[in-house]
Amino acid sequence: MKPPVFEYERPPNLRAALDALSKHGGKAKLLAGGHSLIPLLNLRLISPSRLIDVGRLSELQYIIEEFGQLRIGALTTHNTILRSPAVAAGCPIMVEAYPHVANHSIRNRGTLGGNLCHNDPAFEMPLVVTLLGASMVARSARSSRTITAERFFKAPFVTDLAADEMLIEVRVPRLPAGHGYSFLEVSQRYGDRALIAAGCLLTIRYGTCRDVRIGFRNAVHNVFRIPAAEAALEGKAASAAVIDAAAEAAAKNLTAASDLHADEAYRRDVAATLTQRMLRIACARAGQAIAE
Amino acid sequence: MSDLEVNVTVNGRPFRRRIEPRLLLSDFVRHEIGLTGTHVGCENGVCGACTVLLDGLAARSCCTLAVQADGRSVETVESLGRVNNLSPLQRGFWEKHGLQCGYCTPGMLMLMTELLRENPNPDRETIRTRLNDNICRCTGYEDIVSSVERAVELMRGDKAVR
Repeated sequence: MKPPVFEYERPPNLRAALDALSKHGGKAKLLAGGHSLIPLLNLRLISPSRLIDVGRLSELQYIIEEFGQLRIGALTTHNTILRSPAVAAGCPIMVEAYPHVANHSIRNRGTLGGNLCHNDPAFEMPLVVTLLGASMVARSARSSRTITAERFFKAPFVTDLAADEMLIEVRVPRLPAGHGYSFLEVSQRYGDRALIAAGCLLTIRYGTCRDVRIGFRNAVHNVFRIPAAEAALEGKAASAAVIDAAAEAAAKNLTAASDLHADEAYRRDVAATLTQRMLRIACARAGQAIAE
Repeated sequence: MSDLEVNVTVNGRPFRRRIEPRLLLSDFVRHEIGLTGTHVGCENGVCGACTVLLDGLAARSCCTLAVQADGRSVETVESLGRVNNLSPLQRGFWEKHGLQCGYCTPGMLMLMTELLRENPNPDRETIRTRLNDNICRCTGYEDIVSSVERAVELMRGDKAVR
C-alpha cells in the first residue's frame, strides 16, 4: 500500500529538529533511514500527522574513538559501522552481529539509532548494546540525559524516550583487549527475523571466566540477559562441564515464547545449543580453547 | 497537504517535480518520470524488486520517500544497456537464463550493479550472500548466481572485446 497523508519537514540542524519535536511531540515521528518507519506507513500500521526528517543531519553521523569508549552518532548507517576499523577493534561483537541485521541494501540506509528506537523484539542491535553495557544519549530542546541500555529498552517497540526526546548518540565502553565474544542466530532464512538471537561476552583472567554476559532475543519479548547462565560460568575455569551447565540454565530460564514460527520447546532447545556454541567460540577467542 | 518541490537526478538527467511528501521513490520513478523498469513487489521492504541505486548505494525504493532523494542521484535499470546493446550484467542474465518471469530482475540487476562496482571479481559465495537481499520465486537462484559469474567473465574480457 501507500503511506497515509502526513506533513513533512526537514530541519537543517539538530537544534531545529529538537525544536520541531518539542512543538509537535507525540503526533510526529522522526524519519532517519526510514527502513522500519516507511514499511509501517505503507502497511498503514501507524499514521503520524508529521514526519521530521533527520536523515541528513551529518552532525549525528560519526564514529569517534575516545579514551575508554566508542561514541557512535545515532544517524550513522549500519554499513558504515559494519565497515569501521574502530568498531572492529573496539567491539567486534557488533561486527559479528551485523550480517544478521536485515540485509545489505537495508543496512545501506538504516541507522543504528533508528534500529534501537524501533526496538523490534527480533532486532539484534538492542541485544548487542545491552550486552556491551552501552549508554544512550537522549536530547530534547530543553535537556540532555544519558540512559543505560537496560533502562532504554522498556518493552518490545517501546523505549524510555519521551515524546520530545531524540536518541543522538550511543556510547559503548571499551572492553578489555582479548575479551571473548560471540553472536549467533537462528532464523528461518539467512537475514530473516531471528527466532532466537544470542550473544555473549566474557573475559578470562588467571584461568577463570569473568564478567560473563549472556543475552537473548526471542522475537516476542524485550531484550533479556540470563543471570543463571552467566553465574554458571562466572569465576569458574572454562570447561565443557560449565558450558553445559550454562546452556542448561539458558534453556531453563529463557523467557518462553511461542508463535507461528517456533514453539516454546524448540526455542529452549535452540537457546541451549546456541549457548554451547557461542561460549566455546568466546572462550577460544579469549585464549581458552575447550576440549570436546 | 502541501506539495513539495524536489530535484532528483535520475540516470544522469535532472528532474524537478512537485510531489506529495508521501510519494514513494518507487512511484516517483514509475509515475512521475515514467520509468517503469523499476518493479514494485511487496511494497514493505521484504522482496527487493524495487531496488535502485541512491547515490550509488542499493536502496529499496519502496521504503524510501521521494523527498528523501531530493538533491540526490538515482540510478534505475534503464541506466544499464538497451535491448540491442545489453550491458555485461544483462548479457550474463541473458546467456545463463538468470530469469524466468522477470519480475524481480530489475532489482537483481541493480543490486548486482552495486556489488560489481565495489568488487569487480566476486566469488560465488560473495554473490550468493549479497543476493540474499532480493527474492526470486522462479529460478531457485542458481542461474542468477551463474549469470553474475558470467557477467564477471564478460567484464574481464570487455577491454579485449571493445
